[in-house]
Amino acid sequence: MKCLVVDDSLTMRRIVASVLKTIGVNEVVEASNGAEGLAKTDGSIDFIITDWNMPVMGGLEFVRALRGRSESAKTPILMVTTRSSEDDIIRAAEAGVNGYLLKPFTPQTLQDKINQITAAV
Amino acid sequence: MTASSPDSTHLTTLDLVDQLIGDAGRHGATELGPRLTALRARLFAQSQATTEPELLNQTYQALTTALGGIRQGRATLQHNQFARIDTGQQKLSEVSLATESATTELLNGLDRSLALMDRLEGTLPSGSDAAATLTTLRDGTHQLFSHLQFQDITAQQLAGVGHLLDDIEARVAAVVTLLEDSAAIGVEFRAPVDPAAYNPEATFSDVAERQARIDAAFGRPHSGNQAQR
Repeated sequence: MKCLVVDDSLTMRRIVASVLKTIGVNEVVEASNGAEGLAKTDGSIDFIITDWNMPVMGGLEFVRALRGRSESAKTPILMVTTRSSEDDIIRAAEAGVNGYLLKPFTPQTLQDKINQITAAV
Repeated sequence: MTASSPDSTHLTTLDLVDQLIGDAGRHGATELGPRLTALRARLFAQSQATTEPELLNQTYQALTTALGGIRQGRATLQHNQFARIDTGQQKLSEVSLATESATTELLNGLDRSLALMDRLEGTLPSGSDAAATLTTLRDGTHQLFSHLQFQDITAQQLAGVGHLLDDIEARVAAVVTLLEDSAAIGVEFRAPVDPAAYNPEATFSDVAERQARIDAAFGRPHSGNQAQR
């Protein structure tokens, strides 16, 4: 499987990548903001994990842009963020994310969320 | 033409004001006259002046002293408060960078440990106690990875405090400018951190409870794409 991890924190990208490695994701593409993520998104990406708060292009805008492109219109997307208000959740769902996970997470909860979003497609 | 000194110009101006006040009282300025007379009487009562120019001169001296105080206050704000705020922001940046650097080193160390475990795994008989211990050790190491998320969350919290200091600095600068329009602030403002790039409300608290609320809310239908899938 191939996953795109979009987060402006190098620490978070490495942590997510380490969990992905344990669940058999053999290729991880990294990006530090939504614009960079868009440039690295193609039909070969199996699922996407993105942060919300990022410079240049944030996660919400990134998700909306992905959903407007044919090659990523149905790609499973997991939002991993510190934001947890009701309004945030509604906005994320309406933008088109398939799952929503709060930081800090455990490896198991991340794994569970990935399983959920990839199984639903 | 002889250049007049500031003092003579000042006294001439005050004399003119004195004449103007006298004219206003004599020539039908019926509303202005009584008020000026009352004001004059009060001012003379509160000062040791005996003539209008002398009184206005004293007022001018008092205003000059007050203006000096305001200028001193502006200079204090400019030189001390800006410096303190700047130092505070530098300290925050140092903490953030040091934490990020230390976290990166920890991640590198954990990666090396995992690589060594992979090598060790190949040398152990399958199903042995040592192999089981190695599995436990690997799981524990992966847990350590996730604990390092503290760095991302504290970095966001520090960015929030830094943004607050930027805001205070801008407000102090606005006050300084008010005190003296022509004042050159003399402070180089840093490019502010993009507020969209961090969440100042990032927290470690109640993660399980908040995640449960999110899962419940996320399961409900919404008007957008989620509901359509």
